[in-house]
Amino acid sequence: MEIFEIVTYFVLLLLVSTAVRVVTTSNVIHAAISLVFTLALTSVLFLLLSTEFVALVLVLVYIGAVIVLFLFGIMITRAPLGKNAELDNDKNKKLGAAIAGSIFFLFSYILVNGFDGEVIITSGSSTELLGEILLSRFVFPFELVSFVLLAALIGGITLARKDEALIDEDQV
Amino acid sequence: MVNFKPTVFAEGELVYTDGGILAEYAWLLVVLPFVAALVITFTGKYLPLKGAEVALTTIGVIFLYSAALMYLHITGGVVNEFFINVGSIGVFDIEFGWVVDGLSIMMYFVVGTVALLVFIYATNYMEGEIRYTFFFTSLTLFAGSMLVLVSSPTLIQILIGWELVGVCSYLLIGHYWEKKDNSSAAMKAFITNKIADVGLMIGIIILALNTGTLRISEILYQSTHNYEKLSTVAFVAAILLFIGAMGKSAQFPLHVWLPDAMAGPTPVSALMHAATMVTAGVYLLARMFPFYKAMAPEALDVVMLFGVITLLAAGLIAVVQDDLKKVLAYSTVSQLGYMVAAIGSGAYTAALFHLWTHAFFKALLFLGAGSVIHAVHSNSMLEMGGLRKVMPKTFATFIIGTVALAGLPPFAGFFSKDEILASFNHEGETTFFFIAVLGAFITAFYMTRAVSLTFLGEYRGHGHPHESHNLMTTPLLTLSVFAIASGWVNIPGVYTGFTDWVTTRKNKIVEYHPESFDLFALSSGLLAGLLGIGLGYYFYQLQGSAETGDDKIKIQPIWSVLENKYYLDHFYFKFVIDPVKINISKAVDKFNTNVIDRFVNGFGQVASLMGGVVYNNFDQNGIDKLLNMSSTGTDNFGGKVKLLQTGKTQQYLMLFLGGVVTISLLILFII
Amino acid sequence: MILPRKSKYYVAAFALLGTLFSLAPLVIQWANYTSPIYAFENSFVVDKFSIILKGLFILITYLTFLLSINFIESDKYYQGEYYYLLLSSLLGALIVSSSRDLLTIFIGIELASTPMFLLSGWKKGDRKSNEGAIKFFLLGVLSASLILYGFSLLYGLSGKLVFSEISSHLLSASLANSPVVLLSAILVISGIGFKISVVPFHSWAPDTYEGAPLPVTAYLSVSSKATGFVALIILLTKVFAGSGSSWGIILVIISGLTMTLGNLVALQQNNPVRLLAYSSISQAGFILAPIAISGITGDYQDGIFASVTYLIIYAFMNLGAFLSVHLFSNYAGSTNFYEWGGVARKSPLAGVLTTVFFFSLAGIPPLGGWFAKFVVFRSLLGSANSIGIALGVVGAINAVIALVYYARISKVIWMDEPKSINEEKIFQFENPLKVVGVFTVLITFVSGIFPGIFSYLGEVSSIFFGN
Repeated sequence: MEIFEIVTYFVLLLLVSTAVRVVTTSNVIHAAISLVFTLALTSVLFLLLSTEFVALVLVLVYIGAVIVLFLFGIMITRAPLGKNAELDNDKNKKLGAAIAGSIFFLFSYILVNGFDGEVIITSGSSTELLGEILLSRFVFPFELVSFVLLAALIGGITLARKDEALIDEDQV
Repeated sequence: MVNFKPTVFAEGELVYTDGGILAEYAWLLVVLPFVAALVITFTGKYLPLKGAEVALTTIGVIFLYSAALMYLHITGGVVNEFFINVGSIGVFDIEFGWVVDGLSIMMYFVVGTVALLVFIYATNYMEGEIRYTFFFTSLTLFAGSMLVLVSSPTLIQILIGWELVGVCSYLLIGHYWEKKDNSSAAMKAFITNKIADVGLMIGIIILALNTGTLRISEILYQSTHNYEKLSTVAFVAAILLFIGAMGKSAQFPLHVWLPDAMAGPTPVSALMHAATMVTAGVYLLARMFPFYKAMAPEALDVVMLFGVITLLAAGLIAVVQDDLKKVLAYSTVSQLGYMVAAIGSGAYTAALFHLWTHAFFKALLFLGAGSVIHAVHSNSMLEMGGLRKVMPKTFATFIIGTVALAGLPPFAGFFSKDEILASFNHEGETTFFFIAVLGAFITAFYMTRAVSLTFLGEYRGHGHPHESHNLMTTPLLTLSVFAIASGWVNIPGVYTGFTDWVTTRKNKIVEYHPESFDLFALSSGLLAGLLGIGLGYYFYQLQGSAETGDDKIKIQPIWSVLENKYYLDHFYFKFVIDPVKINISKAVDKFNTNVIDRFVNGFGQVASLMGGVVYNNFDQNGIDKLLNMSSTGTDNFGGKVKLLQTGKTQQYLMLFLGGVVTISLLILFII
Repeated sequence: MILPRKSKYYVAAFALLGTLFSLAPLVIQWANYTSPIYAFENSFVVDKFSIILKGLFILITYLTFLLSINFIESDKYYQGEYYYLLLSSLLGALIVSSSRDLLTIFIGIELASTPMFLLSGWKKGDRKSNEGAIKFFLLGVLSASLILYGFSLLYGLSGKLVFSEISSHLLSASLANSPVVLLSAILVISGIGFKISVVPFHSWAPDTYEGAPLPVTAYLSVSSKATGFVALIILLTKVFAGSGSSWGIILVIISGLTMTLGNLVALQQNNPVRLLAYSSISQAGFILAPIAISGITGDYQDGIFASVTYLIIYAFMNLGAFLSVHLFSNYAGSTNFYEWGGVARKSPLAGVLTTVFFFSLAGIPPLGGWFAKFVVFRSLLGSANSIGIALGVVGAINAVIALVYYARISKVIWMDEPKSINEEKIFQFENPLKVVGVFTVLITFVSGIFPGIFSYLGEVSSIFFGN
């Protein structure tokens, strides 16, 4: 078990440092890449907790799709690729760090006190069971999520569309 | 839903009649004005008299109805109340309704009579003015709101009537709203009243929570039967109700709105100062009198103290006013002080008696002043003088009003003021008794001054004033009859009908009634009045000040203290405004004068200055400042001017999370 | 959306009719109501409380549609999408009022707010709109993550999702006041505090309100706020009922701060939309106050009754206030209301409506607002608790301050010197807007004169808390 713990702590340390890198770097591309690492490490963490489905979803959806979209977006909109001084906001950094730090200590204090030594879930999750329960017990919220997604989709398209299209159509 | 079953009973030995059909339909008194207001609004412009005829008819019906009720009451004694349940919240019912008893009938009659005469007067006075139709709509609503208030059998309806009166006064005071000052005066009246209203509302809620009912008669019943739960909160509730009354009845220091309310047309001032609005506070105290007497006698002492302060302070200010309407306004404040002090001393009937007589002679004086102002086109007494020759009817009626106010027999004010003085004397309040006598002297003095400056001597104004139209002088003549005779309904030892009228209520009134004239009170009051008139005549007529203004008798520094309204302005200036002002570095001279006078404006300004501080320093730029303090290096303000202020979004996020942290620390480690 | 542009008119009509017809099932449910009906293993419920709130949400949306018709057409927005997004948000609100488990309520909250992020940026060419939408979105994501974090702590502790099971587990394990549960409560309050825009989570509101299209702003300040309050009430009383004394204190502080800050800042505004934004922040403080006190006293029924009553009255008068602002800013073409001198004379009807709504917001009888304030004060003072009374005093002072700026607007439109009045210009007051005005004004009056119509809410809140 000792090795397991060492690995876990190592992963966690890496996770925190990459996450910090995401918000401190002044290069957008670097931030996105760091985010990939952060998510990958999170997925490893889930694997260590033997919840393989969540781990896979993280890899597939976030790393595979979302981050790639980020990168595409950055490139398509011709945003500056290199260092961007405007992202450095010294004024905000210190207070932000203070608040983030206090949240970190506060939450960890409470969580460690609250859950210390408690075994919450003993067995790993079964993907099969998850799929089944999602379409029976939780079918209602599951269906609702599709509305959220549809709303986001439609709204996103509308907002991103060129306004000229609207005028053209009117003239027809 | 309507509980038409009359609940006739009496706590005393007498059993009264239920008033029959006349009482049953008394709701008409309340509903008619509102219907009329609607009719005037929609059809007024197309009618031959521009809506005034609807208003006049309505108020005429109300007058006749109230007179019929009055007759019924004098002959039989009517006590009845009706409730309409409109639902319940939690433990208690929300009920509206109407009450028909001595106190309310007296008020119906006063409102009906004065309103009718004022309306007749206004048809001529307002002729050719802007928004003639709208004026009559508001005036009808104003009378209607007052009737809502005085007909109320429940506290909740009182609250509604209370605010309605406030809203209507806002419309009427600001009638000439094209002048900035007038609309500010309207705002001030509205907000001062609102301050008091919140006190009233909290008081009412406290009473309702501790008695389980909003019905006034039940609350009063509980107070006279020593309900434990009520007694614990009685003092607080009594003081809160009094704060409400202070606002409407212009008691020191919430009197500031009343002199400014002169900005409205004179008929409005007459109605407001005589029958509606300012009497509301006294009415409330009278209505709740058994509660005060039984449960909160200490609160009555407070009431009395404020009343006495008001009667003296306002009387003194009236002496130095040059604006005829302002003299009368401060005089009203002072007379309201008498009424409130009388209630405070436990003299229920005396207070209402003074309300009754004062309503008639003060309406007379205001309408007279309006007639004068209409003729000379100025409010300033320095531009009047010598009008006795050109305006004989106005002069004669004004003199009657003055004498009635100064309290000379056999005019109305004599009897009512004497009764107040007698009850002070009876209660052993020697200091207050002498202050009240001094007040009577001052009253006589400033009224003589006003008469001298306005009617005696030579004319100092412009143009050629002439007597007003008959539509204006007829109400004056009618009111003078009341100003003479209305006091005769309560002459100790001769006829004390008025006492019976107003004490005929569901809840028994315990108070002192003078059996005969208190000769000491009578002679001191009379002496004070005569002395005041004599001195006033000596200074302003014989010494010739009527020609030159106050110059000859100005006694420094008293005069300047009074002219500056006790330097309370300066006090407020120094201790309230300055500390705020330094932060904002705003112009000083705006507040140079009249700060207590502008207390409300001050209130608004202080609040908005605070708002500015909060807005600029905390809400919008707070985090910026915090950051500036924490950052040591150079600040890049370039980000600030960018249109999409990412910096600001980050700050919002930090405020958000900072809030979470603060709350967590607070809840987890401190509480 | 698939219809050709020329017949976009039908989209509005269809949306309006659909919304109206969706009231029918509610009426049937109400008529046939016997006892609460549960579905999906207790995670969804139909009880009187939810029926009333659903009725409220549907009516608000209906009125928002009416407000939108001309606005959307005049500015060449995408109509079909607009209505779809508003309807999605409505669906979210409806789900929130019925949900009884963590998952459903979270998705309901998100479904209610996601479309709003998009709609607040609907004026694409307007930088203010974009800016407001971005701020709203970023803070909204933060708030959602906080709520989710709070939920995850609860789930971690109890292993349950349904409210009744969680709260009984917390009680039986006497965890109700443990730091983890309190942290979870704080996170939930903060996250929802964003939706109801209470201090210190309010900073987005003025920017977003100013930038968004006006009907959307009206919807945001009324329906989104109501959704947040409903979610908060459900969560606090169904899940965190045991830790009331702790969150009660926090909410009292938040409520007092919210009333005061909102009011003081509102005094400074000259933009009517920002003024209404701050005023609605301040009103949120009033709505929150009874819940806060009920946490301390444990009398949740009374708190819910007072808050929901206030919420319903507030919803209609605030919609009306936005209608007035829309009318006058359209006519005067200025976003500084001090330049609206005398505009009421152009359209006395609009002027009267405006005065009614603003006076009602200020709490002047016999308009609905006074009854709302009355109920709240009764609840605060009736708590017989010194904290409640102190909050009542703070509220009383604020009620006076609020009158200053509410009365100022009606003073300006009636009494000030007409500057921007152009005799030629026609005052636009389209029929759909008239319907909104008349409807809201009727409710404002009726609720003030016959407050008895709210008495059933007392009974409903007792059922709500009793089950």
